Amino acid sequence: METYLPSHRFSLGPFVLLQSLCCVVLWMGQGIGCPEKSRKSEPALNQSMRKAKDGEEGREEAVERGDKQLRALSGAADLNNGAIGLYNMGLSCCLNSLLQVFFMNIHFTVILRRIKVPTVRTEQKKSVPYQMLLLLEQMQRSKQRAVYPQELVRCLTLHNLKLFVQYDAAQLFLSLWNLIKSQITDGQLADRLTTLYTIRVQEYLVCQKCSFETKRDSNLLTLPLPMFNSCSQRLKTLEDSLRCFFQPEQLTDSNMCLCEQCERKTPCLQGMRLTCLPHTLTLHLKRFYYRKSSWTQKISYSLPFPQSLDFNQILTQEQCHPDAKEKADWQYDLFGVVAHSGLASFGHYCAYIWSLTEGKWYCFNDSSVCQVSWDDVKCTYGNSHTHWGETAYLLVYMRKNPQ
Amino acid sequence: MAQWQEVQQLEKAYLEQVHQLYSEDHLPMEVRQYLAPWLEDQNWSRAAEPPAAEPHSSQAHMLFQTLLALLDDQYSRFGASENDFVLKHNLRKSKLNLQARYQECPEQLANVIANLLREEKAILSRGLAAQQAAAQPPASAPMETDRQQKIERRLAEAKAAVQELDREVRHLEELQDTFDFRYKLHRMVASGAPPSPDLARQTEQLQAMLNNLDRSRKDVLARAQELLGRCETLRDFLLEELAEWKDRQRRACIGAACDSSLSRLETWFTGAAEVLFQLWRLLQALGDQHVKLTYQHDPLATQRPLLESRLQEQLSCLLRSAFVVEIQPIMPFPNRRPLVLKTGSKFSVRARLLVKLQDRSHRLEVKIVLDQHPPDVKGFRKFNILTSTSKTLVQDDPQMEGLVCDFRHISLKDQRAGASGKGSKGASEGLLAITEELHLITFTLDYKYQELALELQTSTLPVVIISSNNQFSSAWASVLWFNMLSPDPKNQLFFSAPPAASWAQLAEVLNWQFSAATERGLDKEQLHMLAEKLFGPEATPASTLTWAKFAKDNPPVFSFWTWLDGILNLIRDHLAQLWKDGHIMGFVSRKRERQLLKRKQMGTFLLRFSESSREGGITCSWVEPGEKGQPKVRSVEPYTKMELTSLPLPDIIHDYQLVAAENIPENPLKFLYPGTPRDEAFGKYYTERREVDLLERRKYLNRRLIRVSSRQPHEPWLPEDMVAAPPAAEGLAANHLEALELGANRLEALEPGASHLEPLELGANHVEALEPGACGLEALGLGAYELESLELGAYGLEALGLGAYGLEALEPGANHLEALEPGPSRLEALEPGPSRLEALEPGPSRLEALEPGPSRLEALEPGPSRLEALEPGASTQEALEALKQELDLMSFDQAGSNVLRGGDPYLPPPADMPPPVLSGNTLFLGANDLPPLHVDSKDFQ
Repeated sequence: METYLPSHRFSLGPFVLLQSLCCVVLWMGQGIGCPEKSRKSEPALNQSMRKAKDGEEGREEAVERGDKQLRALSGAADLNNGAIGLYNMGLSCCLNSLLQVFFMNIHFTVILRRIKVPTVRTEQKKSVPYQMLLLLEQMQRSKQRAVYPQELVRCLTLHNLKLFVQYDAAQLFLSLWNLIKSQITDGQLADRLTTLYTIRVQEYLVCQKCSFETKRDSNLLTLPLPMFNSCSQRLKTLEDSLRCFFQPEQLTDSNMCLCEQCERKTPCLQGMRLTCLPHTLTLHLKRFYYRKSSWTQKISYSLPFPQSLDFNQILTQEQCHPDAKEKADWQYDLFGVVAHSGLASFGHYCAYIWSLTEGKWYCFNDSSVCQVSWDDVKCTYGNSHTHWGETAYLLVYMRKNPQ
Repeated sequence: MAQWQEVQQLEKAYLEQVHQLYSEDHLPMEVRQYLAPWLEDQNWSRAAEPPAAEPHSSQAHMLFQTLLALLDDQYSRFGASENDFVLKHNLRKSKLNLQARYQECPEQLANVIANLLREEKAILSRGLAAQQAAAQPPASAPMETDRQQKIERRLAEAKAAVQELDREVRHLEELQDTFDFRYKLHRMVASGAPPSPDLARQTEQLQAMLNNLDRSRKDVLARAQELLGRCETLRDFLLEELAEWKDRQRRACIGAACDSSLSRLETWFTGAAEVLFQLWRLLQALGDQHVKLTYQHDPLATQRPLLESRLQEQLSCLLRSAFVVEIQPIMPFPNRRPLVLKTGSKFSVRARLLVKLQDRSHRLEVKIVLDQHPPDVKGFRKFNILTSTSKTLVQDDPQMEGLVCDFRHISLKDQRAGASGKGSKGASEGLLAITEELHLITFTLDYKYQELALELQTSTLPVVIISSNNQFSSAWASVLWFNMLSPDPKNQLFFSAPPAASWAQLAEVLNWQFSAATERGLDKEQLHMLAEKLFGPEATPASTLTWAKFAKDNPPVFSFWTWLDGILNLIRDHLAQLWKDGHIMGFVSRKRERQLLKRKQMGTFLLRFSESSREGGITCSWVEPGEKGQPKVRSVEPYTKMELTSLPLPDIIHDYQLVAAENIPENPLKFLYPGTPRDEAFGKYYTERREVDLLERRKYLNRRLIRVSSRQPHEPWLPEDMVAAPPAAEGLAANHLEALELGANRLEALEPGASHLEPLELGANHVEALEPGACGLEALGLGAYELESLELGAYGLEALGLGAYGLEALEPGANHLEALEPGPSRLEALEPGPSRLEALEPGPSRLEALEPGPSRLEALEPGPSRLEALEPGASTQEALEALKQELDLMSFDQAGSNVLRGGDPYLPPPADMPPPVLSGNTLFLGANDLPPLHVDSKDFQ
């Protein structure tokens, strides 16, 4: 039976909206002053940070030993409080959804917990990973159903990620991830983060005249997947979309490229070979498109995505880089869906995330969190008859566990 | 049901957990009991988290005071009885305890209660889950699918969630009112007054309250988002379920046995719509709150419009799909085949709104229109709907459940019928044949509920409109093809390029045709034969058949469907019981038939549908020893509805006899495949034969109508394949009676003359052999001449251009007996038209002179009424029956008939000779007993 300790509850503290953050102004236009944020919870958080640091050495080894122990270790720490919501700080549903996707990913939180805490207070306030860690701690210790991410939001505004702006989740994800990565001072840790998320591909350009090939390696954080194929036909499934993405393209006429060998513009074949797929793979459905002389439109038709994805069945031999290792591991399970409802200019984000420790789907709508089923996730496939319903926008796949 | 009530109904193990929950002294159970509804309706968790600036949350404080007041109230309600005394004591003690304990910290109590309620809920859901799990196996009787269970569960969850939200919105209102009041007060005080620490503290408090309000608004909005998301899933489930229902209805229309009841769907749709409408009201309430009080970055301002649009879209989506055609257009009469309408004939159709929500003040009117958007095809017919085209959706009709509108007794009229005169369409006029022209009836409903106004539309499946009954079969083929294959249920131009059907699809649909019309579908073997017939021996489920091959008649070749529908009609009208009981193998190829029968004992037979008869024919095939001792399979020419109308198939089988010169006539049909003795299989279907008492037996010979085949001994059997060829091609071999009757050449062979005497006698012979009655006839003095003239008569009749029927009636022996046998009612059937009767007249008049039979025949033909008029003597049916019985008597006893043939039955006795005297153990005890086949009218009196 759960015990309830009312006294404990209060120690966690009430929080207040900071005027600077979410300036609550009355309808008469008269602002009401509010006090500085109570610092009550601060010591508690620092304490937990110390704990985290103490455990670091032990954890380091565990990480090396692989997923299983890792899950046991961090899982116990990460989800002892179940899923907790995040209050909307003013059109921050997009940020909230992304944060939840980060926080529910135990491979990410393992990295997050090992960051070096900035020593200077101003540094602390500016450090995105540190603020994220604080928020994570706060969520895990909260006895409430949801917490305010105000410190993190304030920190982000310092980095030009403003509130009350409609963000595109894919764009915000990229910005956020870059901020995190650039602010992790430990190079090894930053590399781990990179390995966890980066997709490596080799772009190539083959001259049709002389077969001269130009190659270039690039890193991607997400695969931006098309909704239509090159003939503007609707793609039927995520697998089709992936195939279409890796399909080489003929560049002719005005699109011809300069071939170094022929020393003139020649028709070319442009394509991409997959070199490496990360542990956490983010796919981005290009549901928003920009039409000339009109607003951004949203494509809401259905594009089903599978619960598990095997790239070996999708890509042909030519679409994989010959050096690609771990091809056998290119098997993925769906981990999270960031879904958008509403119109392109005006909408709401929520996140469906598979809890790795509990083996359940959760839906995060800002402060409201509920357990859902695969049927609910499927509901975000889209529907061409509705315009306001939830449609998947970002899909996060996680590599299948070897077991 | 309230939570506390549900908790009390839990099973013991779970009740134990509840007791444990209340064992600690946080909140006494009696308080929980007495104040159950009130406790459950408060937002304790909110009260437990006071805003920072207020050490004593006003809400928790207020709730605490109310709690105490309610307890006092409860206390005062107890009487003075002894029981109550203890209760009073306990309650008082509890109240004092609570007061002492939480006076200073009402938030703690709020927290305790919030936790208790949450724990209770958890126990409850575990308990209910266990109960459900236990109750599952027996309760699964109505075969709930996984999805149906999910729908039920989600609906219950959504209802609970929207109730919860409702409570929160009310609390939000309270919060807002409190803030509003205090803020206004503050402003009054603050205006003009110098800043003071007191004012600053008040401002602080107000800010805290506002923050709290802001958070509550965000919470409510987030919950609403979540609820909408879950409702989307629910809606998707409902739409899937509805799509399945539509599919079932479509299949049921073309004969499948599917449950097309809508009551569950209605419950679900109504439930889901109720939740959404309630949510809508809540959003409107939030809108009102927003108008009363707003601030910068008010989440209500930014998020509510989005929610409202999303909700409205969901509601209209739900409502649009909830408007369905419950009963597809159907004419009241023929054979359960909907979607075929005939101009000028009444039909009915019913629409239903599955969301049973209706404003009493708003009348829901439904309009129907045919072909709202007619396809742009030349010659596409236009029709008017006669009588009213609008109707009100009614709920309270006691005869019908649900919100339905029933259009009955409406009919269609071709718009051109008046102008162009005929209304029939020339082949060149339009692209589509009449039976390939698809029309849609569309219902439009102006729906209004609360503040939502929508125009809902639904359409029937495409209907085929015909103008005469003989188009019915091919119209039905179109309906089958469309509903089997069209992916789009509204595609009116389906037949401009009809797709081909795979055998797998077609087989299923054909099977339904049989199971729907006859209560017995086709088995694997039968379907296999059909597949081979259509696709040859390499038929696979993936083999495809084009629409043209399926249903396009191309005279004189008739299509597969025409053939099959003919058989369906034959079964329905004449063979229903035999088919239903599985005695008709029916669809079996000749080759297969031979394989099956050859391995069986001689005399094994089966029933097979003719493949060459357009109207449906059935034949018997049996195995008998062939020339070299090898088994031979023979078939009788198919019986069609013509024959079966006069004589049921079981009787034909029972009495069927085969005659050959060297053979004693016998019934070759002994065992129904695979080995059931004939009478065991068909016994119960035989027409009941009257038991005759001995006295009556003396008066009349028995007689009965049977089918006979004969063949000449030296005549070779035709190759099997030719048996089905038109009778004219069969040569002279009179291997069965009907065949014999059909061609004039056969009669020629029987023409009198010395050389022809033998065949003539043969004819007489088998008549005699098969028909003891005929034997009597012979014995009564039919000479060669008479026979000849008889034949001449027949010939003459033939020359008069009569059909087989008339001729059959005049065939010697068998024929008049046939005519006599069944009694007046059967006779009517035998003699379809008076015209034929008239045509018969010249012949029989001659026959009349020769023997009494024909005269009777003639007299009998017209049916009872004419009978009286024509034959004064034979007016009573009684007399006829007597005669029949007498004949029966004779035909029953083979021995007797043998004796009858005793003298020299093959040679006609001299004309003046008295009838031969029979002796021995014959049925006829003496010459005088020989019953009056040779009758005059006196006998009938």
